[in-house]
Amino acid sequence: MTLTCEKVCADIEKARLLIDVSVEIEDRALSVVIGPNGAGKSSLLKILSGEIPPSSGEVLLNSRNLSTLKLRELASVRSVMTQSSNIVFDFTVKEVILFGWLNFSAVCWDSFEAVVVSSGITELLSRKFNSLSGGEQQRVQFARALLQLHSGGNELTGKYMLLDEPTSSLDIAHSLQQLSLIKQIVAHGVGAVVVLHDLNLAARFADNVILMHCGRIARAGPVEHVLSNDLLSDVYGTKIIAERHEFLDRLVIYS
Amino acid sequence: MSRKRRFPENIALDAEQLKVLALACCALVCAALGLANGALDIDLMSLSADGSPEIQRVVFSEIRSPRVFLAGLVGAALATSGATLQGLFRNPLADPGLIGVSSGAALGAVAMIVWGAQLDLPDRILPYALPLASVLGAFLVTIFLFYFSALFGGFNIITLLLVGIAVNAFATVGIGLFQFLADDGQLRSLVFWTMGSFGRASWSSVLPAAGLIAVGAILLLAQRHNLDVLQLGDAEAGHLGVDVNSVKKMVILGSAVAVGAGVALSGIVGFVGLVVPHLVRLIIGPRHKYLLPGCIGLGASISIVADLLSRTIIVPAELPVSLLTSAIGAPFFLYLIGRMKTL
Repeated sequence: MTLTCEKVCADIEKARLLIDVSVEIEDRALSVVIGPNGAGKSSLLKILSGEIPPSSGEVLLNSRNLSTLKLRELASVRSVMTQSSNIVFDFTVKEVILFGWLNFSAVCWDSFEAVVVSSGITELLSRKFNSLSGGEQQRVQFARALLQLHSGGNELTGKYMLLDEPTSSLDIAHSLQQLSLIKQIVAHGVGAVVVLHDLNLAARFADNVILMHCGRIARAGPVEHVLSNDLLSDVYGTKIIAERHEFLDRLVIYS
Repeated sequence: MSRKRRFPENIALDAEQLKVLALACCALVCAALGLANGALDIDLMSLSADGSPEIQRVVFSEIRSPRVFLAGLVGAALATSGATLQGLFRNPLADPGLIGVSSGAALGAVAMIVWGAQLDLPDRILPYALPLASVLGAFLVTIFLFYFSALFGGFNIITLLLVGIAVNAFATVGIGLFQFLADDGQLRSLVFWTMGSFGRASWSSVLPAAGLIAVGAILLLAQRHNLDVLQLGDAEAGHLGVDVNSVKKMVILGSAVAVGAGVALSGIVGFVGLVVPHLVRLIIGPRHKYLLPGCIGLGASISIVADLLSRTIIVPAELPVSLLTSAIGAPFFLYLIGRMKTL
């Protein structure tokens, strides 16, 4: 069970977004995509989700080519949370979360409740989505994406979750909570791909790190392997120090 | 079972169905009012009795009934397509009139009035020719709108309205051109398009249009769930398994058919498609599953009442119905713009 890119290039209007990217996303693992602005993090996510087709190379989901899968099939094995969360009309939070339930005529309220409780948004349910703060909206969108994974039954193995900066509007405590929750979901068999800007969050939670630079993968692999002083400083173009914190017993990144 | 109780909002679903039902009843009441009142008042209760005057029965069955039916149909069609277009564009200012779909339909109808005589159509097709030409006009305009909105930077509000202005201008040029070409008799028919009136309704013209509007409404209602999911964004809806392009095509087709068939008979009736969906959202909420049926009920009600006012305010003369709907709709449009803090 994997989600893999094989020698993928992607272009939009002659601009090269991704060049010769090969990567393997495992299930039961949290893969964090990092890199400077414009490095191709979101493009990689769009390729993995099938939103944009590769101009060369191929994307395989559980060894089936992504382009041969129907939208419906795809939706039942992977959910996506993008950065946009703007909704024009006054839907309630509950309604927005339910958009994630694929078979809308038969909602399983047990799954719904489990998702809402684990996302910690029970008290937001009857609020209008538009009245929420940016961070609250992000947590609701996350719950919506999580519910999508549950709508094909509670067996999550072999399913994928692609999240584009799910913590960008969250405070420290909620960021940690969010990533712990993603870790729990991963423990149930889900393969998660998360774009993050915060290198410390990446170092703390990632099973694998994918470091992007100018449309290519600069390095991918376990945390200690990717987050090295020289490589990070080189890619980000500024002095970055990664060292193991003795008291916390994990990698900490300074800049 | 007991799980449901822990999320009490679930019970609200039934309330929404009740509200849809209430709006449907409202439409029936308005229809009864529209049938009973006019230049000649009709006592609906005694109508079936043998003693009722012949003239009342004729006015009721041949003039009043098709007229009220048409008013209801057109109001429902405009409101429903307004709601779906707003959902599709994620934009509460989209309206079949403002973005030019109605004037496209009028252009199609006007072209058929002026050129139709030369086409020499057989009598059996004639009642359908006008609605079909009008549907075609609406259809072309919506595609034009889509293409240029996407070309100029997506479906944001300003692009959409500006392209709508251009579309309306093109349609006005076309209609003006046909006015220039028309003879006196045709000219009278043409003027009526720009004003809107349900006064020409007869069963032989209303029934084919009713069929088309029903087809359009079914196409639109079928998209109710997809339109909900689409509110998350085009890409996001795609990730949830919604074929966004097919939704767009169905909504274009459905609203062009519904609005086109309506406009073919009534001319342009402004602002119903803008105001009604907004009111229904306030009453029932934004979910299209309830919004669209609600729009059918309230759209029909408002249109029937506007028609009733237009033919009773200055009896025996008639105000063009679009004067009334626009007089209410235009300030409402300003109010909507004011409410949206950022365009």
